[in-house]
Amino acid sequence: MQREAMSEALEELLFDSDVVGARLELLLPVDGVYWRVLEGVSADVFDSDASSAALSNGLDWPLDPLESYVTATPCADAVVAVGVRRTMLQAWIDVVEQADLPLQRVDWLVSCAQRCLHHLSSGWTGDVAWLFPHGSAVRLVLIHDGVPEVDQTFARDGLEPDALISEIRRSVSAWQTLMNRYVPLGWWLSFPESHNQMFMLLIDAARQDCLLNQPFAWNPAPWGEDSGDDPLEPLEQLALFGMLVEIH
Amino acid sequence: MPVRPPMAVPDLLRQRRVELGLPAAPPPLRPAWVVLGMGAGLGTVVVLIVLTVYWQLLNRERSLQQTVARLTPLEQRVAKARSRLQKATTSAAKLEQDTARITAQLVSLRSGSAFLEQLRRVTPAGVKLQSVAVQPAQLSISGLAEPSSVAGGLEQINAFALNLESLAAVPIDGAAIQQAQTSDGNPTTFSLQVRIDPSIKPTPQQLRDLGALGLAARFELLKQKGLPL
Repeated sequence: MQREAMSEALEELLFDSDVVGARLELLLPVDGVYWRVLEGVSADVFDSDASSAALSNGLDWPLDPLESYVTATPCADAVVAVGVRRTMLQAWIDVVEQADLPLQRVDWLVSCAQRCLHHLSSGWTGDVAWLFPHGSAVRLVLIHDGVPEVDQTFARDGLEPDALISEIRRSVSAWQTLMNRYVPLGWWLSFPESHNQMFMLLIDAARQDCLLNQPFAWNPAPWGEDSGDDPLEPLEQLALFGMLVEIH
Repeated sequence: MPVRPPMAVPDLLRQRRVELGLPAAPPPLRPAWVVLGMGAGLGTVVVLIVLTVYWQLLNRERSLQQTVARLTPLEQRVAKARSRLQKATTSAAKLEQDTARITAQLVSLRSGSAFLEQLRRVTPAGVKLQSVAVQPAQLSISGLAEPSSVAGGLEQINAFALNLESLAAVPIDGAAIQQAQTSDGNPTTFSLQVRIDPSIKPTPQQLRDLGALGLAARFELLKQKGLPL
């Protein structure tokens, strides 16, 4: 029933938008999709079943090599692999097919938002620390030269804000120590404005850290009857703006 | 602000496309101006086709109008000629009818001499005719029958009637005795009605035999001229 409702909503949306005949690009939600950075392999490593199966076993992610779809894209000197369960992708394909729409491409909200972040922070020469919500938790992605080297989730249940800030600081320090890089950090906080304040403490002006957040020139209005109750999250807005930038 | 090169875009449908035997990369999205250009091109082609067809139709109409204008006087001449021909045909038919009627009248007149000769030949010796009235399909004869040594008056009247019926123009039982009256020592008076079939015409040879040389010659002349008899 939920799939049917979503198919109908998709049809209605495209009809209302007067873009009948358009091809659809889908962004999968944060949950259920995983990514890894690989070194020493080429971007077509997952095109062959044998090399794909051999590699997937060593990826240390909860995806079964035979029950998942993986794609890899070059990123600086490395390759970023993004994987999803077949059942999940198939469910979304079914939704789109039921709406009788052609599916052009499937991407992931986080990787799309990260590419947008890379584009928007092109003037920043240091590393990037990106924080965004993942359910009730907070997710930290540390990026060096466009490559997401660290992706860590911090549970917030029962944790004081100060303790959360300390944990995040420890992770950042550990990464810098491991990589032996002590360059200024640019922070991008993908939270509602009220929550961003809490994480402003992470920005160490003495080390020339700075906040990279900038207002978007494009702010799409959510569509639907109850859209007012569910405004776009900053992460979603970042990803959608990334898609817009890539298309143009 | 330096512009970084765009990062590669992942596509989670890539493996699925390969599984389904499709190209790994989706068909490229056409920019709006390309689609617009294709639509405009197609629209232009359609408009050009319509205009070409319209232009050809206009030319065709103009050519047909010229042909009509060129043929109009001829058509009028043909109509006039047809009308004259119609009139000529009508008058010819009328003339033919008149000719046939006149011809029929010419040959339908019974020859008086032939009739009298015929009447003479069929009238027995003892029968005297007092009056003979000739109508187109009927003869009315009245007269006297003198009894002779071989036949009485009534017998001679009967013989006269039988003789009349033997003629080609008189049908069988065509001669009817209307009245016969006899008294001792006097001739028998009688009157006869004889029906005549007007469609039976004598041949020129018969007419000649009966002495109607004029009518026979008329017959032959009309036949020579090819007139219907």
